[in-house]
Amino acid sequence: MPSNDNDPIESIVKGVVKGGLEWGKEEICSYAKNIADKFRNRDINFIGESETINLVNEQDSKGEFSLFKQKIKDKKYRNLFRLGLTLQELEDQPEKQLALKKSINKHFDIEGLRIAQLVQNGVFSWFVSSLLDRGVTEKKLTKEIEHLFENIDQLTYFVQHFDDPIKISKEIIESVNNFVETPKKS
Amino acid sequence: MAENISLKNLPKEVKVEVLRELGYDSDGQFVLKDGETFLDRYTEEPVKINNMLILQGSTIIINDDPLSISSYLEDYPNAFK
Repeated sequence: MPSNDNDPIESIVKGVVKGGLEWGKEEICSYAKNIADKFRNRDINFIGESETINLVNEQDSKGEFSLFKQKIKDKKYRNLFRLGLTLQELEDQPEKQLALKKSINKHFDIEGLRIAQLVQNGVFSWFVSSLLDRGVTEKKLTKEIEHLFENIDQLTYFVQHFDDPIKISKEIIESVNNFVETPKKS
Repeated sequence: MAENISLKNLPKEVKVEVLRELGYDSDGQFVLKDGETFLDRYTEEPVKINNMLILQGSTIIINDDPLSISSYLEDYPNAFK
């Protein structure tokens, strides 16, 4: 199928979908070469479901991310922050949310998942707000955020709905006491 | 900015030929490179032909999932703007 450079690319794709099953090998190769050339010329990206790209990409436009992005230069932490906002967005899609949590845990370990969950459930926003209320400098704010992420397992405690409240309370108090007695990790 | 074209709507035969044009291949299920299963650079998972994205940046082929896309945005923050 000859491609007409005046046709929008999307209409060419629609034509392929409609007529693709009837094409011979030659037409398929010719068309594939055409769109591969357009890709090499940076005219097109090949995407899957735009829904997933939109879901993730939209997080960058949130005020929280814009603020955070300026404070933390570490790519991994920025990535986890964006994933935390994505988890938040998937509250009404529990299967996809769970799949993403498993993926985060697999690739960033439990500490990475905790960071993303901290963002997801709003605790990170509360943490930053409380620091700002105390009038910390920008430099101090950055340091505190980095310290939180680097020591996430010591500084946070994740409670699940089925946990025994008395047992958990004791563990948290013990954890806090141990932390207070231990010198801060630099 | 590059226009986004959905791979989901393309017949598998066309997707395979596009991969070949770009120096890759497929066994019908996974993307191959030099005869080996090609891995998503961010998750190191095999890239499936029915779930792949082919993006700018020296031809980046990843799975269409949030973690891969988020990681790609770290390397190419303006890719979808």
